[in-house]
Amino acid sequence: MSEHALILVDDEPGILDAVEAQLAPLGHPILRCRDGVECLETLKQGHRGLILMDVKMPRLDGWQTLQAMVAADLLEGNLVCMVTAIADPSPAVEPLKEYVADYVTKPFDDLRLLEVVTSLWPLLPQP
Amino acid sequence: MAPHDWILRFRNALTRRSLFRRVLVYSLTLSLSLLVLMGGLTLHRLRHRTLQEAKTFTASMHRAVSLLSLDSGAEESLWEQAKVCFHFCPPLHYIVVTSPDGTSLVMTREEVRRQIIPSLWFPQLHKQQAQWMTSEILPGKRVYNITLPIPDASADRGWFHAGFSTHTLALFSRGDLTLWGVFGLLTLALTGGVSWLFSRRLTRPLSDMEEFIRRVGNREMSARLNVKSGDEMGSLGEALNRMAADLENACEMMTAEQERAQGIFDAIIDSVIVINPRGRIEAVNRATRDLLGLAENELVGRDSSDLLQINESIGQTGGESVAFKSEIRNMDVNYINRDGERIPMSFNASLLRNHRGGVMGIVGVARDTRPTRRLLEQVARALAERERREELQRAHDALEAAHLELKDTQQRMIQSEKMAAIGALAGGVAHEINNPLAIIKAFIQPLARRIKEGDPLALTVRSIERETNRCIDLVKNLLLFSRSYKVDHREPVNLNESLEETLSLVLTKTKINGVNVELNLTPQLPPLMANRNQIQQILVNLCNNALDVMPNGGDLSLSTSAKEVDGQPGVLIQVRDTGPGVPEEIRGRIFEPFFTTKEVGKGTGLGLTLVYEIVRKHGGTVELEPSTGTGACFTVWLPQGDHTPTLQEAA
Repeated sequence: MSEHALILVDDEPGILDAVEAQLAPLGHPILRCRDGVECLETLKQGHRGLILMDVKMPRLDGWQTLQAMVAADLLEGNLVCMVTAIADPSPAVEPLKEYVADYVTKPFDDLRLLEVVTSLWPLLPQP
Repeated sequence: MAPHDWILRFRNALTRRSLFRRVLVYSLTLSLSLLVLMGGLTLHRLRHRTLQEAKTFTASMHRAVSLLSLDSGAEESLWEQAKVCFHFCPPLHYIVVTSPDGTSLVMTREEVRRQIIPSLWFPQLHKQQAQWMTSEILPGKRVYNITLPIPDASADRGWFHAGFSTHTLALFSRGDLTLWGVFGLLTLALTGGVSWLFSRRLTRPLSDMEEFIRRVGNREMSARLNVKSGDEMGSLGEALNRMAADLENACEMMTAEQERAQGIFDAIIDSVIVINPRGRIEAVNRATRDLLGLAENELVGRDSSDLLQINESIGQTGGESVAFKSEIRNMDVNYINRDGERIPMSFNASLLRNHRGGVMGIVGVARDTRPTRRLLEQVARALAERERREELQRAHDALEAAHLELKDTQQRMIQSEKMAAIGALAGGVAHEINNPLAIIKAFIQPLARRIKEGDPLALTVRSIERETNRCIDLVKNLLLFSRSYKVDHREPVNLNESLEETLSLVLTKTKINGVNVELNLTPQLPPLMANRNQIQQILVNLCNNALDVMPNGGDLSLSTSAKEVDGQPGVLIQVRDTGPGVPEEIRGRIFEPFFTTKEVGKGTGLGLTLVYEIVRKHGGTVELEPSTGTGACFTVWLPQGDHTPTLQEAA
């Protein structure tokens, strides 16, 4: 799989819809994951790209998913941007912060979202 | 005066060696002597006369007998003659005519008999010459015998004897004797009476005086002699009366003085006791008697040590010590009363001296200390009671306070729990609303950006966008606010920004209360290393408090400035309101947990505590500025802290 995708991870379909709607004009392929587990499965299938990861999710939350990615060595070839309600730094996630490319607070400003994606996209490692 | 008394007096007068008796005896003796003398004389005269009569009679008989011849015939006539004699002269006991031949013609009165008996029968009569003699010629009969010789005859012719019974001789002048006896008795009675009266009259004033003096001696001062006579006795009586009057006056004065002294003595409320140098009680006043329950005669003369119980007897050694010290003050002694009970007394004593300075005894004044002790005990009890009551009251107050506090705390705990629950709920709700808001925003934002002016939907879309943003802000603040501050995460915080964020949170309230907000921010403040949420919490709490005290409008002024404290750079925040200010008495308590002046349910009482705790945790200080008359001003100083950039800052 050579093409990068925008991997949207959120348990809220509305959010997924909204983000997809906003980012669709960029023309990147978009993959939707309903939670961390799906995200991991997607990555295991070989997909890579810019991951917009919601923090608060059932089953496996954002940080846990990131942790699992690191553990499963699935981070390679991806960039992770955490999507959070507010800046919610927790000492527990401090070690994971080095794997996070950027943060977006939710509700996100559409321009901010576009800016993040457009700025990070070129930084994706080429396979 | 009753007769009995008279008899008594009489007996007394006779038995006693009294002047009266002597006078009576003297005068009676005198009168009796006189009487006896007179009687003797009278008797003598009487006897003489009787004898004269007897002689005269005898002489006439003798003459008659002499005329007779003593022959046979004569005998008969002699007898006749004798019969006449016997008849007229009762004392005549016998007539004996003795003849020389020795025969005697005896004629006796008894049976007026005659007999001729030998003259031997009267031998002694023969020998007798004419003379008076008294002899017992007849046995048992005293006879006064007169013997005469028969005249005109020779010696041998015979003798004439006439015997008079001495007994009947006395009767011979019975009338005289009776008269004499009556007279003698009368004289005796008269002289006796006169003697009695005389001696009585002589000695009566004396005995009166004696009686009078005795009465006066017995303190019968009003007694006076009844002076009747003007003689020496009278003047003596008057002198005695004057003396008695003087004595009475003196006595009255003395009695009055004594009564006065006794009155004073007895009127003294404290116990007064006079002890002689030998330790015996001489006098006690009424208070002492009442106190001891003993009568005066039971006390006077007793040894004082029976009554007074001290280390040493007052009367003896105590007396010496008194003499040595001349007074005793407030010595604790015990009186021992009738029942043997001890009465604690405070004893004072001083020496009693006579006018020569000699010690006559001790005068002690003692006061029963029981009332004082009782009073002291009562006072002590009352004090103890009061103390106990006060202690109880304090304990009660403390308990009540504790109870109230407990209740209050419980109330606040409930309130706190409620607030925590509400906070958690609000946080959860805010979080849940966040996603829908994000979706709305994600869709409306591009729409609002793209819609052209003049489009009929422009207003709608923009309104939705604006209100969505407002909701987002609100939710964001809610989330910030409800975010737990247990996470001590520090980041560079721009205080001015925090303040503005805070204002957005309280804006609604300022509008409702009609409060003007005045911002006086110093630009270019150095960022603080602090927990943003907590700083926000400080500001929100201070602002909320300020707004709460100005429900009807006012001014809320917020200022920030850089300030260095103890060489440490930092930032100063001032929150000033124009409310009623903080009363002086609660200024010290405003930072206490659960202390609130707000109504129950309106405040948690944790606001300022949280402020204080957060500021303290950040190493800063929070103070309430001294009252300036109106309003309150809280000053928070926060140190700048170490500045280490974090990822957030980068974000």
